[in-house]
Amino acid sequence: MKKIIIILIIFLLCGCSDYSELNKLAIVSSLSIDKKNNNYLVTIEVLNTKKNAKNLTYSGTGKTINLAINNIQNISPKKIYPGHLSRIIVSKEVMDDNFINTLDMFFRINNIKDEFNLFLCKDSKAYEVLKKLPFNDGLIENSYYETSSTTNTTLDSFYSKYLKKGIDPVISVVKLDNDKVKIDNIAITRNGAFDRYLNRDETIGYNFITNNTHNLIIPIKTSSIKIINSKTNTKIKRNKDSYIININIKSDIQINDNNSNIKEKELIKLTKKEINKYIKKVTNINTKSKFLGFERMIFLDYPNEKNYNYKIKTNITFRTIRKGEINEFKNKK
Amino acid sequence: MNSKIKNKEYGSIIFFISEALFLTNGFREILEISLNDAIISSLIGGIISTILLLVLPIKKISKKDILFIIPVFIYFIYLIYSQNTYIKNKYLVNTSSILIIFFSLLPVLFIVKNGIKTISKVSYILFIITIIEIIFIFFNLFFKIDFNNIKPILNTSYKNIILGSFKYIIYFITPSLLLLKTNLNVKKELIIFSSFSNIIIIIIFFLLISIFGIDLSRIFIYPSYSLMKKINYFHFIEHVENILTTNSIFSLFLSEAISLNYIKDVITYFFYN
Amino acid sequence: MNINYIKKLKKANPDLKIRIINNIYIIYFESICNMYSINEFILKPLKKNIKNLPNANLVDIKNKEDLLNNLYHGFTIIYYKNKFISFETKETLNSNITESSNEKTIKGPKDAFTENYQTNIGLIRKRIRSKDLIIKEFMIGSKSNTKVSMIYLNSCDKELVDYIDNNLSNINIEYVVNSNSIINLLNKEKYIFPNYIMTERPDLASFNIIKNRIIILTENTPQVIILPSFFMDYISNIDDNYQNKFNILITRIIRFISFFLSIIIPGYYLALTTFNQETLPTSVLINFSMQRESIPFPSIIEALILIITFEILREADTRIPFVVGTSMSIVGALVLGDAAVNAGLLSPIMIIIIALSSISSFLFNDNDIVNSIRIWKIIILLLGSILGLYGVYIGILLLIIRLASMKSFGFDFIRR
Repeated sequence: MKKIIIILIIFLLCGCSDYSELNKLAIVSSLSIDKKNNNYLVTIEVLNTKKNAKNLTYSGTGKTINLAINNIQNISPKKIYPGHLSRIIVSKEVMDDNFINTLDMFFRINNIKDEFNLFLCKDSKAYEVLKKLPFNDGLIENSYYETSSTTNTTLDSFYSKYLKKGIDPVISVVKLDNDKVKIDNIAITRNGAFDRYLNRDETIGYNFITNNTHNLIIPIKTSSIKIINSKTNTKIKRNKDSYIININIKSDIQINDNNSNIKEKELIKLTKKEINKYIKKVTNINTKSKFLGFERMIFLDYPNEKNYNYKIKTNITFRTIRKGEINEFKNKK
Repeated sequence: MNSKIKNKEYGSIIFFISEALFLTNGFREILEISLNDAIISSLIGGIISTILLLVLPIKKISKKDILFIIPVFIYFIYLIYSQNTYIKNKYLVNTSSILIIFFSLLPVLFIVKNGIKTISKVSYILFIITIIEIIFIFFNLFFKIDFNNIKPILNTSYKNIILGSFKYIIYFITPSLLLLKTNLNVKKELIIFSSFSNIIIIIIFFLLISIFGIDLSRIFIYPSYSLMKKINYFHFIEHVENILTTNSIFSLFLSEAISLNYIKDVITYFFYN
Repeated sequence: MNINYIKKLKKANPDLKIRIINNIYIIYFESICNMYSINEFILKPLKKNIKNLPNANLVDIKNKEDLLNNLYHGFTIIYYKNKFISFETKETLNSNITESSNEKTIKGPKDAFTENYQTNIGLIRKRIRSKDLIIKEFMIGSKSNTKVSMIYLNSCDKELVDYIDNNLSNINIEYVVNSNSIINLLNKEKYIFPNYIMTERPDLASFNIIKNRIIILTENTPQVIILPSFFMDYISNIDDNYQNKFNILITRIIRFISFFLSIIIPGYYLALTTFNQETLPTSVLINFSMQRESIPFPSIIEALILIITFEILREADTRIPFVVGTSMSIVGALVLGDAAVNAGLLSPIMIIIIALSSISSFLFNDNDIVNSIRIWKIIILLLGSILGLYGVYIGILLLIIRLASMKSFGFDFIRR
């Protein structure tokens, strides 16, 4: 009898302060950070649980990002629940020297997934991009996989690359284009702060070097070649005082269309030339940022070296060559 | 009519009590000292601790054991405290500690009332559950390994590597030497189950360093919990870390049960002799 | 002791008949005696003055107790020249051997135990024709005098046999209604899970006798008790022996999973939606959240209301007579299904979860197991609403500890 009374008392004691009903939570799915007069302006996007309704956005300002999010609680009627956060958009002013310290807060939040995507927005305010974001997780996955003109930046890969010696992380860029959100290649950082934007050719070269390419379409005169499932392997060899970095690229190719009627062997040669062009463009960029990671590759194999002189050699092989359904398109001429 | 304790059931207890100290702060400390070479120091520590288990004897309760009541009691309080911290950090942030401690002690008291036979049976059942979950975990995490994160090998000083393996041995061996008192002949089962435990701990070190890299895994408080966050099946089964850390809960529960059972056995031995 | 004693009995018992033929008194209870055998074998020969009466069962009566005993068991008493003799003329008052109504079978034999004691023993002897079968009879109940017997093979465990033997001999009770009263006196510890099996099927009973267990048969009860019983007996079914072995392995895994599923699912769902919402994928979370928009109750109250309503339905199902059954089942389905959801009182997903858990528990044909699953379900639900996922784990640990520490008449409940 006594046991039952004790257990009943314990049941009554539980205000159950962790107990929260589903419909009383504001589920945050994206977050944007701007700077406004030395204060941070944070906007959150909350999923709407009524049928066929748009998502709501709330904003708040504060001296630190954490304080800004806390101030949003004064506007939102439901309790802010960051457990399903999947995207963060920052604007260029935020990516100054202190940026890496602001990421500290996202690691400490309980029960959050570390793999949410980071975006940098170009030529507009971050909250404007946030309002036009579609709610689908495939915003970056499909373009990363199919066109290889960006990288999949997640929070923990960004931070762990920053901590490693000899490599700097990159961040993917979005911009507003006619009221729609468009993926716009990548930007490189140096010591955790913004360095410069890259254009399409340089991005493709970067992806080839760091083994981030899957599918890609390369135009040759007026034909187009598709590169499928490419993998890169880098090996370092020592040559007296400097190093030779061998970049081996292996992939399948598919001839998507052959408008200019070039012969097959010629096509393959020209494709290899194009890929070499991309890699040359990205290695010739004049910047102090170590975004390509060559120093780290040398450090991994020879940890006690001091000088980092290197030369780059590329070696491209295509395994299977697909042509689709027809062998050759015949004209009347 | 009354059955005796089976050897394999008693042996499965060592699987859980040797892991308990690692999950609270063992992973963090060994990563801090040996950095990249935590895998090598854990390999050395694993082999030496298995050999030590073969050599050192396990006897039944005798008069000398009354000296150890106070250290075992301190260990028990430490386990309750670290379990409380773990649960408050990860699962229930706003609940009061009294509630958590009360409900954590409920199964411990229940099982100690029934004796060592029930503890062995329950430990065997929990062992089977844990093995099934570990297969589920490791199968998915092996696809995310990046071997470049392990290099450069043997870059830390030899002193640190040996210090790391020393810590490993102490964390591994001390609970079993202190708490296992029986007159069954369980040498073979002890080797088998402690090898299981060693293999799992070494694999966790390997996965931590190769998936996160040493710089990021150093700063986590509970590295094995953060490792589970990476599991991802078909983009649907994500975030199952809350379900799969039953390993930690079972280890802490069984260690508390064995400590309390030790105290109870020693006290009854002295009252009836 | 003479005939006046019997004439006094007639006042309280109007069905006691006394006939006199040629100075011979014939005394019998009309309700339990077979009129045909009395007419044929006693009255007719006596009328024709034949002195030797053909009957296999003839007993000499020495004292008052024997006289009453025989009268109440349906014997006819003949009183002649100060001597009492009794004849067996018992009427069989029981049903025929029919199909079992509670334990269905697809391929096995369809006969079931009845209320007649000798028929039941016959059904077992039909299957085990060996001299190793031992039957021990007891007469239990000081006023009801019911026959209870213990059947086992020669190779059974001696300690267990002695234990049951001693306990059955020392039972001191007035009336025995059915087997359940006996098993409650034999069982020392009170567990929620049953540690014995009650069955109506003779093939299951004989199968268990061959596996060295003990069977207890009570008169007037079609259920026999099998003891000791283990956890695997509730997972397997006697029908499994009549089907393909590999398929049955998969069926047993499904039964095993459904046992734990029906206990854990309500508390687990509650913990996931109220404490640890990050475990659910985002699209599922939005779906659940949409369903809960207008519900006025918190989730735990909703779950408890549904469980109680389901149990009321289940209990009402067993009491309602067949003719009224169909319209009441429609009302039940309407109440729980459509009307509650349309009125905005319950969310559809909670109905699905509780219905799934209840249906999984009906896989087991023993009513005791279904009731014990119900109690554990509510315990884990309450623990999950206090501490979330951690509470569910503590509930699972408590369940495993309870199952591992149960004993069934001296043997461990979980054993291979």
